[in-house]
Parts: sequence; structure tokens; C-alpha cells
Amino acid sequence: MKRGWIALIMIAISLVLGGIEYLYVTSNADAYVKMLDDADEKISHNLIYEAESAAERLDNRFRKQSGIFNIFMYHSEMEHISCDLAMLRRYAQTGAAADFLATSACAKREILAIRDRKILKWENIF
Amino acid sequence: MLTILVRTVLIYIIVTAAVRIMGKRQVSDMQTSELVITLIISEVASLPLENAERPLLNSLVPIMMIAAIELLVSLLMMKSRRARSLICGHPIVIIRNGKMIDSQLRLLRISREDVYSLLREQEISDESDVQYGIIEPNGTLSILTAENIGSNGIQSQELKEELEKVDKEENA
Repeated sequence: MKRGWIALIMIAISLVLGGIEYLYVTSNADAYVKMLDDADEKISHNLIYEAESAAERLDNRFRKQSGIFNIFMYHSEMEHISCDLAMLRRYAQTGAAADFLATSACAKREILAIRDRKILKWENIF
Repeated sequence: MLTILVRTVLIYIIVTAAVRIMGKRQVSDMQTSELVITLIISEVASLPLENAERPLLNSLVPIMMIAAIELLVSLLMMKSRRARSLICGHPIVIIRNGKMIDSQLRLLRISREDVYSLLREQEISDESDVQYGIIEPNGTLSILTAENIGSNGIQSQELKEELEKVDKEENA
């Protein structure tokens, strides 16, 4: 029976890890998309300095959290998003609104794709 | 490279622990399901070593889950004969009282020549020397002669039921 308990503990650890990953990734993905929308809004209204600081906040937050993201996700996905956020910051500094919006859309698409893959749906399971 | 080195050590520890928890068996004694699980674990364990981009957790969690499910299934098989029969199969009598049972051979898709070959491996040249020839769930052939059955007869309930089934089929 001891082995039965070991098996149940292993299943519990796996479920806890899965739950932590799901909550961490989905909640942060939503927050990033919201921040990107906010930055888009600012650059659309030609608020360059505000957009620049929004892009800076995004980039800093992502760099801080990248360690934990790397535990849960493919590192190449993280690199793509990291590059997009660095580009956003640069476009905001140069006031290139069109490039900013395009890169932001690309980053949002990547983040949402990662988020969607973590959701327990039939299409993801199969 | 250092990452891969550390990962290798971690994977080694986890896989060894998983195999240790699942129990001690030689490859030749494994049930089909155990062999498949061992192959899956080895495949999953190799993925983060081949690809450093892949998170280690993506392999560790499946290994833990597979080992845990295997443990639970083995406990279930210990408790329930029906579950054991469903998952591992049951012994099939192919020789009875020195005669091969063709219907059972067809069921197992093995020829008489294959059986002769298995008998030769056990240093038996003539099927008539065999009281019972049984294909075990792990695919090996067990031979029972009149001498090694003993006075108490066959103890295994599973095998007794199988022999009764063969008797019924023969009489029908």
C-alpha cells in the first residue's frame, strides 16, 4: 500500500505543477496583453513618452519574469517575445508608431497563442 | 553544455527513482504494458537532453505521471483478477496431455513449428512428454510434466479456469 501512496503523491505533485503553470502563464499572458493594448492606445494618440514608459515597463516585467517562464515554456518562444518587447521599446523611443503597432500585434499574437496552448481544451489535448 | 550536464544528472536521478518505484524486473520478465511504459519513459527522458530549449519540467511531469499510473495499475492488478486478465492477459494452454491444441495456436497466431522450437529450447523433443504447455502472459512457454505437477495438482485459479475452458471446447 505504501507504493499506492507514493503514486498518489506523485500524481498530486504533477497536478500542482500543472495548476501552477496554468495559473501563472494564463494570468500573466492576460496582463501582458492588457499592457500592450494600453501601450497601443498611447502611441495611437501620439503620446510618445507615455508609450515609451509603457514599453519600458513591459520589457522590464518580462525580463524579471523570464526565469520562471523558461521553466514552463520553450525558450525560443520566450526569446521571440523578448525580442518583440525590446523592439517595441526602441520604436517608442524613435516615435515609429506604425512599426510599434505592428510589433505589438505580433507580440500579442505570440502571447495569446502560448496562453491558448495552456488551456485544457479538446483541440489542445488531441 | 553545462545545462545539459546538470539536466543529465537530474534525468538520471528521476528515471532511476521511477524505475525503482515501479519494481524490479528483468526485461525478459516484463509484461507487454511494462515494456511499453519503459520505452515511453526512456523516450520522454531523452527529449530535454536532445533539446536544451525544452523545459525539463515538460519531461519530468510525464515521467512522474507514467510511473504513478503504472504503480496504481499494478496495485489494481494485484487486487482484482479481472483487471489483471484485462491488462496483462491470461495464461493460454497450448498443449494438454501431450497434444497440441490447434484452436489455441490459431488464437495466438503461432505455428506448430514455433511450439516445437520453444520445446527444443527447454530440451524437450517430443510434445507427448508434456502434460501441460502454457503460454504465459509475458509470452514465455511454461512446461509442466506429470512429475513436476506434484500431488496437489495445479494451484493457480487462473490456470484451472483456463484448463476448464479448454476441456469444454474439446467436449463441445
